[in-house]
Amino acid sequence: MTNHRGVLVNTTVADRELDANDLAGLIGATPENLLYLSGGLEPTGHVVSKYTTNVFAIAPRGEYDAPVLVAGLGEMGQIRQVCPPGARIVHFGSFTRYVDADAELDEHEAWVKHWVVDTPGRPNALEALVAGIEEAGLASARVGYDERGMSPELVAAVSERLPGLELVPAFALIRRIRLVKTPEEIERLTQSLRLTEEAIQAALAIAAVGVQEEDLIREFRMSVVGGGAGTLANEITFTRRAATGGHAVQDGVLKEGDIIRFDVGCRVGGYCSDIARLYAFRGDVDPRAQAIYDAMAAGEERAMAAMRPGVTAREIFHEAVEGVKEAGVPEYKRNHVGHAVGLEVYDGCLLAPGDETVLEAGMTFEVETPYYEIGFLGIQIEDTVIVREDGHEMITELPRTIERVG
Amino acid sequence: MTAHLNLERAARQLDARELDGLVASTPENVHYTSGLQSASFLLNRYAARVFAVVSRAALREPVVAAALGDAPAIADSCPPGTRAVLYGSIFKYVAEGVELTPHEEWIRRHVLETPAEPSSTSALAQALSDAGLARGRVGYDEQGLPSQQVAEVRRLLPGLELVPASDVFRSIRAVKSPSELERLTRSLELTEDAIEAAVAIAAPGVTESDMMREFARVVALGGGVTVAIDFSFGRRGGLGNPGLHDAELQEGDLIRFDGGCRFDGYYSDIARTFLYRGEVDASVAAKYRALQEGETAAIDAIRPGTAFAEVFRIGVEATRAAGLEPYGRHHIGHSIGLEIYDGAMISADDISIVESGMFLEVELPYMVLGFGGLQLEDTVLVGDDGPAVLTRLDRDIIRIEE
Repeated sequence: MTNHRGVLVNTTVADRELDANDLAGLIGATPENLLYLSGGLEPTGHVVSKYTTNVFAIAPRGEYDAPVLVAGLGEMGQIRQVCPPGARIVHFGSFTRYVDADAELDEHEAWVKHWVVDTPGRPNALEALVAGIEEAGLASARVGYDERGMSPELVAAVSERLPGLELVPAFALIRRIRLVKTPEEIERLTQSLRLTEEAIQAALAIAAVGVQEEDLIREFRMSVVGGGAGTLANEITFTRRAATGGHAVQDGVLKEGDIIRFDVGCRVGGYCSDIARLYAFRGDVDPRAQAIYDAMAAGEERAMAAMRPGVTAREIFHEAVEGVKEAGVPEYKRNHVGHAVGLEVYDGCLLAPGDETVLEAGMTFEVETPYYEIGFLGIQIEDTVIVREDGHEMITELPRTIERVG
Repeated sequence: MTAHLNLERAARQLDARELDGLVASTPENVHYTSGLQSASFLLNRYAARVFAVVSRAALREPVVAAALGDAPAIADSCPPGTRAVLYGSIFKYVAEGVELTPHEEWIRRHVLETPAEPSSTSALAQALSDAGLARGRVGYDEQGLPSQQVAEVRRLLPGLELVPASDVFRSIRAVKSPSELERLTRSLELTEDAIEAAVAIAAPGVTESDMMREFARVVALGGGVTVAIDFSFGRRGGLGNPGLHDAELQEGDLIRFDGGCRFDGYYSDIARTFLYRGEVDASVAAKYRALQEGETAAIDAIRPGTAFAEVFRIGVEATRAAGLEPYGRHHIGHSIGLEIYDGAMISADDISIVESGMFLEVELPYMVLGFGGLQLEDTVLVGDDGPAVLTRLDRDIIRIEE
């Protein structure tokens, strides 16, 4: 998928946040924080057994290119390929692997042999985590840990073994660091977005009278996975069904004059995309629908135009809602008009009244202004933007109008 | 679109643990108990709070607690008549002068007419009350319900005793209900179709990633989701998961496949070894035969009443006896269902007992650095009289000539 072997962490922001919180390092354990701090590791163990999270990435302040990776032996082959060359490893468990005595091993094989066959692992994840914290030089430090991926029992056991260590919950802090993306992360987000755009076109290409929502979803997903991405929750709904949203059963049937609503995305190298668009299938758009759509697009546009470093998420929310109201839907109400996007679709910051996050250059957001009228239509437009020093940059390339198809 | 709860087994497990009901809070257990597959678990997993409550007295009638945004999914996917307690706020409008469909009417009534609970905690407490569980002893799956929220529910319902019960869910889920067997079987069929389609593109220069994409396309075509698969060519089959799948196929390569898909929440996971052009080397054939004999012996041993540890011992010993010495493994299989490792493992230290209705994978991998990987993994349904192998792909090394 990607040949990147380096750091995903935004080192400037990480240093700043660690200093502000008086922390000497971080331990990532949830799939997203682990991927972030390790440089890209997606453990097989998380897939087969998602409630057993025993892979950790320990990042001392300033040493993000040399995280200590604590993992079972089964993860070694992947670590060698995706994590930074400077990563340090503490492994645990035993794994029976044989070596062909007559073969000359290549570099990758020799690496796996070194860890899996030649180097005894620690007996279990706890022992390895303790050793990993020592290896990272953090045994007597104040360290932020990922409480959503580490059980209270594990944290207590580590604290007992390392009395000089002070462990502080830091799930939210790691997520906050993640808000400001590095160029590699933006590259992955952009790839993800392009695959979603291509997949929307692929789905639209089969639009015909009698086709079901389910058929478009299948076509969308085939396109996404054919491009090497992973799938996320996808909604493709027709006209009135677009107003209720969130369907588990996709059985709407396409007819002339329908509006097709997409709210879709995918995942590339861990990074998510999310796009919403409307398409008119044969025939004209109802004038009232068009008027509402124009108001939503105006609100979205006004929100994006207001995005620049120093503005708060709350202020962007009010810009969007005011924009919609002034453009002709005075009764418009919303809980949020978008969210940060990255390793999660909802990546830790909401464009909402209660969110005081201050925008910084490098943050990536979805901006959306949906309008749902039961019995009529679901109207939505959603775009991805990067906050830049002088404003914002739109990454979505699809036209922002209701395109005609069919 | 149905709840999959094994009613008879749930009743027995709850009685044995003296529980009056259960609270499901993980995506798997909520789906299992109520049929609801909430998108918020996928899009916003650390904030998502979705619950399904059932009482021992009414196991067929779950009460769901979810955010307002989940209302359409509840209407579509839970058994008819399912009660829903919704929380939060959402803004929707209603068209004037239009006759609403039953689905729209359901949404309108639940989202716009019924006052929503202010929080997921109060919604859960209300769902418990609606299920007749305001007092009594109720198990919850602690993997999805943070201890702080448990404490808040206890404050709201002082007559309720909440006890951790993730293991109770797992134990109920160990024996599959008919609706689960349908999905598991479909999931397996999809995986087999996808494997065949993927190896059908074999040609010099085709990469491991090419095959993985083809696999995922066929799975998507069938309505499934590919989660983690591994196509490894030649010597790379000895590495385990190699991380990047960029190797190109060459004549004479062994291809090791391991993985599967998810269909309507249910996983499949099998393994096969292919040979791209050429003859199987005699020593390779002998080793593979030993794996087959070990797998056959393990499968034959899977009968109600046998311990998983005993199945492990029989499988490993048979492999060694057939000439693969030394042969060592951590486990040679696992139960499968809403998770890939769904509970019991076929390992030396798992003393669980095989029961009729269990759905298992048996696998014997043999990975050699500098050589490659041989692997065989099959799906077994345990019946009253013994095992039934459900995998249909040839169990030999499969030769691809074109």
